[in-house]
Amino acid sequence: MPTSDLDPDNALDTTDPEASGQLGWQLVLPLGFLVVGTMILVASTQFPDTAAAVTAPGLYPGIVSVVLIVASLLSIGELFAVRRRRTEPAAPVTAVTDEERRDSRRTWARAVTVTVLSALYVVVTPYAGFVVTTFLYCFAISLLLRDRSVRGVVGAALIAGGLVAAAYYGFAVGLHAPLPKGVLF
Amino acid sequence: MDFGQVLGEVLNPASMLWIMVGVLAGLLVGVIPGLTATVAIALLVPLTFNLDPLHSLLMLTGIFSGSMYSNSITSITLRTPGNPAGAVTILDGYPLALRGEAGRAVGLAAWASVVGGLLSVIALTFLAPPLASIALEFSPAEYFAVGLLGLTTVIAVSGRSVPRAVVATAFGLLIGTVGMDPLVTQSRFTFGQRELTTGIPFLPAIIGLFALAEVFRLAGERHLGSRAVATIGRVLPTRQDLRRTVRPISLGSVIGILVGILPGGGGAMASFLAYGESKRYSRHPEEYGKGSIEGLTAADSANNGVTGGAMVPLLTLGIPGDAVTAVMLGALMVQGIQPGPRLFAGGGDLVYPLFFGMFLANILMFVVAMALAKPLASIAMVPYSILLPGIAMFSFVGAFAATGRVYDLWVALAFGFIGYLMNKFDYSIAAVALGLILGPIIESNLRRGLVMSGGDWSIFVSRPISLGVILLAAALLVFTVVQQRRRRANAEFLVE
Repeated sequence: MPTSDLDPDNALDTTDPEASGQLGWQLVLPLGFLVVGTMILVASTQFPDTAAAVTAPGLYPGIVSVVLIVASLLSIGELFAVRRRRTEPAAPVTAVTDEERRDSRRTWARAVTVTVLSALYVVVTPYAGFVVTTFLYCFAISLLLRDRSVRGVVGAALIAGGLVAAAYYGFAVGLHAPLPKGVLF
Repeated sequence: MDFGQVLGEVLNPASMLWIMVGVLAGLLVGVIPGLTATVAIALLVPLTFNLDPLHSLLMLTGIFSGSMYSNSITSITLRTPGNPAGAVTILDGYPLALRGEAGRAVGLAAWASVVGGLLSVIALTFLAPPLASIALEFSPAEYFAVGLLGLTTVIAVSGRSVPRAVVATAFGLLIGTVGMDPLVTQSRFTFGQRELTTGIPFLPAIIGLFALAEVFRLAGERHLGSRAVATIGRVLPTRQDLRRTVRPISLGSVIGILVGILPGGGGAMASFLAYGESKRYSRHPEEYGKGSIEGLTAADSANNGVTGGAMVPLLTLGIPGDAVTAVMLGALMVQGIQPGPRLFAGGGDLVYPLFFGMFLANILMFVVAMALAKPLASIAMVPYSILLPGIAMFSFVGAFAATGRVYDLWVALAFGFIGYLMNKFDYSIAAVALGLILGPIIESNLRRGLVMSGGDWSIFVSRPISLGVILLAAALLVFTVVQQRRRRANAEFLVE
């Protein structure tokens, strides 16, 4: 299992069938950073003039955005250099079976579902409040990782209930820390 | 006040009890994601209102020590940083937990924390007044130089590609520029959003980068087993582990103390610096980021080394160096105690028992941490069907708890997605965190320095301390790059 962001095993060879090995996908981030850097460089030249150039709000972002642009270009160059060095495949390519393809699709669907659920959670919480939204959110994630049997559903509900209760009593009751409140609940 | 009187004030059942209560409360609150040492102290300060000044101070020191350490526990077991410094603890603590050595990581983190804390109290006791006067000599030029020195750590967290690490750091530095300009009334990169004028909130961003990104990654794991780890292993550090970590802990403690003394320094900056320096001088730099006990202990000793250092400007000058000591200052003033040179006058009736109390709080923290280490490390053994929704929920709750704004949930989510993508394409998210931490320090001091000198950039190299620190940063950068190249060449030679 990949261990950390510094672990080479965690890099470019993950479960994503499209990301691994394809230059197009690997270029997405450096190109994105290049665009961000360029936009910030342009924006940093457009702040209103101040009395002294050294206090200009755009000075520092301008310098850092140049660093970002140069480093993005270097990392793009690095990707092309790696691609050029790979003249032959290191290991014989084995055919992907239908079962593997289905498995890969399932795991991707799970990752995308959790990401979408998280976005929905943030959208719905201000309306439905912490308890209801968090229960449904935790229930859905837990169910994704359990059997879809009656036992799995009951287990997921218990886990969601337990987590919400722990957060509610720990934060709101025990420590008087704020939890999101909704318009409806 | 003589030493016997100090012992008598602290080594009695009532004082010990309040230290213990503080340590336990700090440990339990600090272990909750989102509740930093600052928040823990702020939440628990009301408990000290009805105590006499000394017991109140002793309890506060207990809370301080306990919460500073316990923030590491969730970093190790759940990859969810309890505070910004937790971002560094994750780098080696979490891989150790995945290897089934969560107990070892939690135990060593406690050991490093106690040594860092004790050394910082000793430094505080003997060096407080002279160190405070040196810190007062620091101008923006020196702070800028220290910020640059911190940036050299990027090499230590660069993984396999230095350009990608520089991209990640620059990205973090740029995120730090969002919001109101530090010198003039001008908002930057806010796109008309009112919430963005206060900048990108740090803790929700870090929680998103590390914890939520991990939830998204784990959800997409093809062979996700029932639980993250099957065992947590031994908790008590072995003699070999203790021997191996002497150097990183000593280095981390000294860096923690020095950074703690600097106003605005803080545990996160100290941990990053200590991690980078320890990797630079390690015999096993290749293990860093993959579960190195040296990396883990360097970061944690620096984080707790800050505790004593941060008290230096607070007690000697009455200046809080960071958010934690600002809250401490408020708590002291509630008790009618005004920190400053006068606190030391008249025999130091409160100061010396406080120093000894801090010493004791660290020892008690270690005892309690060791007693609770096994159950706390067992969090890593929780099945994924509980762990994933739990991490996701506590990430959002933690992001929200600090400020109570729904906007912070969006920040955590956005950074979770960014962190997921960066992890996937081998961009160091630790470098983003480094940029986020150091960005505001570097920018504000760079521009203040330039304002001081009327735009003359030579101010950064004309002051002796600033020049020394910049030369040190440059030397360390060159040394590390040369060392890395030499190692790579040796490895290629061996392969051939």
